[in-house]
Amino acid sequence: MAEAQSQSAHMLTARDLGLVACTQCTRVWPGGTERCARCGAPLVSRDSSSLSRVWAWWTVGLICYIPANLYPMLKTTLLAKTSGDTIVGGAVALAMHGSFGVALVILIASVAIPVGKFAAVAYLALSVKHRWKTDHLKRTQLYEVVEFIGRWSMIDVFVVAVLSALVQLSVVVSINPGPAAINFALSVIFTMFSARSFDSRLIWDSLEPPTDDKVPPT
Amino acid sequence: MTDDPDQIPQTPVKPARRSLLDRISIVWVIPATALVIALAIAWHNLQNRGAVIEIAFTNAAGIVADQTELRFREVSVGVVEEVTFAPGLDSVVAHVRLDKEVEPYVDSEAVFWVVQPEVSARGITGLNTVLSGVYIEGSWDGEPRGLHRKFTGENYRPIARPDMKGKRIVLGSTTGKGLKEGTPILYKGLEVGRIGRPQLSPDGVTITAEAFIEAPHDQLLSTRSRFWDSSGFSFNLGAGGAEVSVESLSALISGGISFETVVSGGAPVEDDQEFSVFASQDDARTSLFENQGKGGPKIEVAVVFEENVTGLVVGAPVTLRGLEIGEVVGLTGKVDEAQFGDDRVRLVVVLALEPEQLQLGPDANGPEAILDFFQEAVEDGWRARLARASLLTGGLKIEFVQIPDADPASFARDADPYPILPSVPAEIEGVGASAEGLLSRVSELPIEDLLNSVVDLAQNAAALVSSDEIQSLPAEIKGAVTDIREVIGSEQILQLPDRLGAIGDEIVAVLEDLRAREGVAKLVAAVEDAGEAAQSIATAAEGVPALIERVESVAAKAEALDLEALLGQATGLVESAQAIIGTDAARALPDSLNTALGGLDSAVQEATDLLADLNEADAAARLSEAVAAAGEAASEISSAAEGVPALVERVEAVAAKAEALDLETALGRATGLLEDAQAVIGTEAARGLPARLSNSLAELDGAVAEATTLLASVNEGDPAAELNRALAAAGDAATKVNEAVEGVPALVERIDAVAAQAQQMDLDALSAQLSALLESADALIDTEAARALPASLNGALEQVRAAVAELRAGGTVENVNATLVSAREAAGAVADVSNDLPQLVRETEAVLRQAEQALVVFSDSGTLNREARDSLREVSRAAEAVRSLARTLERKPNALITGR
Repeated sequence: MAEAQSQSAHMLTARDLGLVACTQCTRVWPGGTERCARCGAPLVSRDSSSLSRVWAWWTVGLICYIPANLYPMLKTTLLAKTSGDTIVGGAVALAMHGSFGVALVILIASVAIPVGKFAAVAYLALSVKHRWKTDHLKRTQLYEVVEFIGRWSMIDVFVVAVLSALVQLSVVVSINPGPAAINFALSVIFTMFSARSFDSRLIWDSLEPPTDDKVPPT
Repeated sequence: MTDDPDQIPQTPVKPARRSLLDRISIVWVIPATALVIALAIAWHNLQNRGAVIEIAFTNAAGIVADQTELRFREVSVGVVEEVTFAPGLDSVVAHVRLDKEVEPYVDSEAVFWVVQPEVSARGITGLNTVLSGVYIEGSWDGEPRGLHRKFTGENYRPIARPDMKGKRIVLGSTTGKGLKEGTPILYKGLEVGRIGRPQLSPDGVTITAEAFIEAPHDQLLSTRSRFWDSSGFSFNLGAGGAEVSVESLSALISGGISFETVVSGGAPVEDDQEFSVFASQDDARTSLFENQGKGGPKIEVAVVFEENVTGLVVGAPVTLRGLEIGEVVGLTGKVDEAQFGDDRVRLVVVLALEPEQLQLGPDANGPEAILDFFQEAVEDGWRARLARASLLTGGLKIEFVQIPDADPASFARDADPYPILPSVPAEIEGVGASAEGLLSRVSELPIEDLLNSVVDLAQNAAALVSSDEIQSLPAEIKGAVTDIREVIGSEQILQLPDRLGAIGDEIVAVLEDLRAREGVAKLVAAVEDAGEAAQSIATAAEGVPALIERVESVAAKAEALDLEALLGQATGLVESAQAIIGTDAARALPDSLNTALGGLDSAVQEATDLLADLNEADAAARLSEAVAAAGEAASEISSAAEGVPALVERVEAVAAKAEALDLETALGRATGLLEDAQAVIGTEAARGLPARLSNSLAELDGAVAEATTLLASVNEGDPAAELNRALAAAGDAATKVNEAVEGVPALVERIDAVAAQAQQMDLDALSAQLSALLESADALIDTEAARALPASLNGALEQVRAAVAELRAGGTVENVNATLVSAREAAGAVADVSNDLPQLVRETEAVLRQAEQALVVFSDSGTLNREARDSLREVSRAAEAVRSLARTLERKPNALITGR
C-alpha cells in the first residue's frame, strides 16, 4: 500500500486528486462536477466509450483508405489521352522520371503519414485496452504528434483540388480528381475523428491497479 | 481495522451488466454503413462487369492493354484488358472487357476492326486516334442473339456495318479501272455508296469488288441498272463548243463509279448481285440496249474463213440483221487436210452466241433448240460473213446474212470442238478506200469558189440590167428600124417596080426587034452567065445545113458569152449599121437610083422610038422567034416565081417558130448573129458597097446614056422592027418578074408587122422577136455565099459595067446585031436554066424545112430542150444532195468519224 502510495505520489494524476479537467477550456474542477461552469462542456474524468469510437472511426478510415489507393487519384487528360495514376503509381512514375524529392513528399504525405496514423492510433488504443505499462509519457507524446500531423495528410487532396481547378484547358490538358481523391479525403477525415475520439487520459490509468469501480481508494 | 465513522462500508456491488447497445457505441453505425456501401459497390461492379471476348488480329498495332477501348458507334463499350498471342503465334488476341449492357448483342455477326488514322484523297478519317491511340471499332446489329466470345478482327474497315441498311452488290470489271477501295458510288453525282477492296477473281480474268448502296438509294437499283467508271473528267469538242464535265472533285482525284437505271422492267436486286462496270456512260447505255440479256447461257459455234480477217478481234460483235447476238471469243488458224481437202491455212473464228437475244421462245432455249434453229437457217441460205464494223477504223464484225442463191452448204453440227457454220466471202474490199476517196472529194469541193462565182454573177446581172446601154437599147433598135422603113418606104423604091414594068414593056418591044435581027444569040450567052450565077446560088444554098451547124455552134458560143459582150456587140453592130446607112454614099443611093432611073427612062424613051421604028421594019419576024424563047423562059421564071410566096410563107413559119424561142436562147443566138453580122458588115467590101453601088449606078447611068445615044442612032437605022418582038418577049418575062416581085411588098409588110410588134413589145418580147428575126437573118448572112455576097455583088456590078462598057465600045449596028443574036442564044440558055429553077426552089424549100426542124429542136418542145431540162434537173438534184450532206455534216460533224 505504501509502495503504491509512493508510486502514485510520484506519478500523481488529477483523478488521484479528485479533480477533473475540462477538455474544452482546460479549467480544473473538483471531481464529480457535472458541467464546466466556464464553458458549459460536460465534465468527465474518463471517457469510457472512447476506445469504442476510436475503433469505429479507425475502421471507416481504413475502409476508405483501400479504394483511395486502388483507384487513380488524378485523371490527367493530355491531348485527348486520359491517364489515371494511383497514389503509389504516381509516386513511382515520378521517381522513374527522376523526381525523387517530389516522389518522396508524395509518399510521405499520402502513404507514410496515413499508414503511420492508422498504426499509431491502433497501438494507442490497444495499449490502453490491455493496460500496457510501457512509457506513458512517450505514448502521450505520440498521441500529440498523431493529432497534430493528421491534418497535413489532406495536403494531397488539397493539391488535387487546386490542380483540378487550375488545369482545365479543354482537350489539350485537363486534370480531374479521380475516385481515389474523395476516398482519400474521407480516410483522412475519419482517421482524424478516430484520433480525436481517443481519450489520452486513459494512457495513465494503467498506473493504477485495475479496479472494477474505478473509484480511487481514499 | 479502523474506519472512518462517516465512511460507509463499501459494499461490493456487482454492477448491472450493461446491454450490447450500451456497450457498443452508436458511432459503429458509420463503419458499418461504409462497409455496406463498399460491399454494395463492389458487388455492383462485379455484377455489371461484362464478359471478356477475344478478338484475334493479325497484328496489334497500337492496341494497349487497359487503355484501348472498344467502341460501338463511337461510344466506348469496353476496354482491352489484355493482349496475348494466339496459340501458334499467328495472331494477336485482344481480350476485351465488354460492358454488360451490350453483351447480348455481341453475337456471331459482330465485326471488329482497328480504327487507325487514315489520310486519303477522299479525306482524313480517324484523326482523333493520332493522339488518343487507336481503338477497336465494333459493329453489330440490334438483334440480341446471345454472347459470342471469339472473333476474328477484320484487317480493313468494312464497307458497311452490319446494322446499316442497304444493298450489297458485287461490281466486276475486266480492266479494274475505277475499282479502288473506298471509291464512291455516285447516282447523278450524289454519293450513295462505296466500294470495298477489289479482288482478283481466281481465274485472273476479272476484278471484283464488293460495293454497298445505302438505303434508301438501294431502291434505285434494279437488274437493269448499269454501272460505269466516271472517274476523271470527260472532254468533248463539238459544234456547241468545248465541254468539260467532272462528276465531283473527289471523283476527279480518286475516281468514282456511277450508275443509272434508264429502263424499267428490271427485277429487284438481291444481295451479292453482280454488275459489270463499263468504261463510260455511253458504253453502259449501249450495252443496255444492245445486250440486255448479258450473262445468259451462251452457245459456242465456229466459222471458218478463207480470207484475210485483219481487223477482226476477240470481242468483235456478231450481228443478225443488226442485232447483236454474240461476240467473237477466239481466233485461231487451222490446217486440216482431212476436213478442208487441202493444206491451206484457214482461220477458225469461235463465236459465243447468246440464245436469249434470239428469243426463240420460252421452251426453246436449250442448246439443241439453238442448233436446230441454225440448221434450218443454213438451209434457208443464212451464212456468216465478215463485215465492216466501222467505216473508219477498219474493224470487222461478223454478220449473218441470207444469201438467196447461196451455194449449198451444211451446218456441221457435230463438228469438234464446235459446230461449224458455213461462211461466204465478204464484200468489204475497197470500202475503206472509197470512203477515203469520198471524204477527200468532199473536202476538195470548191464550195467557196462556187459561192463567190454565184455572188459575182448576181452582181454582174444586176449591173447589166441597170446599165444605161441596156436601157437605151430598145430606143436605138427602134430608130434603126425606123430608118430602114424610111429607106424601104421611099417613093422611088415604091415606084421602081412600075418603072421596071414599063422598061420591061419597052424591052419586050426591043427584043422583038432584036429577035428579028438575030441579035439574041449574045443575049443567050449573057443569060448563060446568069444561069451559072444561079447555079452558084444553088451551091450556096447547099451550104445551109452547114449554116445551121454554124448557128448551133454560134449559139453554143453565145451561151458562153456574157450579156455585156452581147450588148457591146449589138451596140457595135447598130453603130456599124448606122455608120453604113449614114455614109454619104448610102444617102446618095436613092438619088443615084433616081438619076439612073431617069436615065433609064430617057433610054427607054429612045428605045421606044427605036422600037417603033423597028416595028416598021421587017425584022419583027426574027425577033418574034427570040421573044417566043424569051417568053418560054419568062414563063419558066414565072413558075419559079410562083414558089416565092410559098417561100415567104415558109420564112413566116420559121419566123413564127423562132418567135416561140425563149429569151435566153434568143439572146445567145443574137450574140452569135450580131457577131457574124458585124463581121459581114464590118468587112471592107460591105463598107464599100454603097459606094460601089453608087458607082455602078453612075456607070449604069452612063451606060444608059450611051444606050440612049446608041438607040437614037439605031433609031436612025431600021433594025427597030426586029427588036420589037424581042422586046415584046422581054416585056412578057418582065411581067412575070413583076408578078414575082409582087410578093415583095407582102414580105415588106410582114417585116413591117414584125417591126410594129417589136415596137409594141417590152424588152423581153422584143429580144425574143429580135432573136427570131436575127436568127433568120443569120442563116442568110453567115453562109460563105452571103459573106461573099458584097464581093459577088461587086463582081456582078463590075460585070454589068463591063458589059455596058462593051456595049458602048461596040458602037455599031453590026455589033448590035451580034448582040441580039447572043441575046437570043441567051434567052435559050435562060430557058434551059429556067428549067432548073423549080429544082432550085425545091432545094431551097428543103433547106428551109431543115432549118425549120433545126429551129423546132431549139424550141420548147424540142428534144434538146428536154434533155437540157433533164440535165438541169440532175444538176439541181446533185446540188440538193450536196446541200443535205452539208446540212448533215453541220448537224453531226462526228458522223464523219463514226460513219453514222
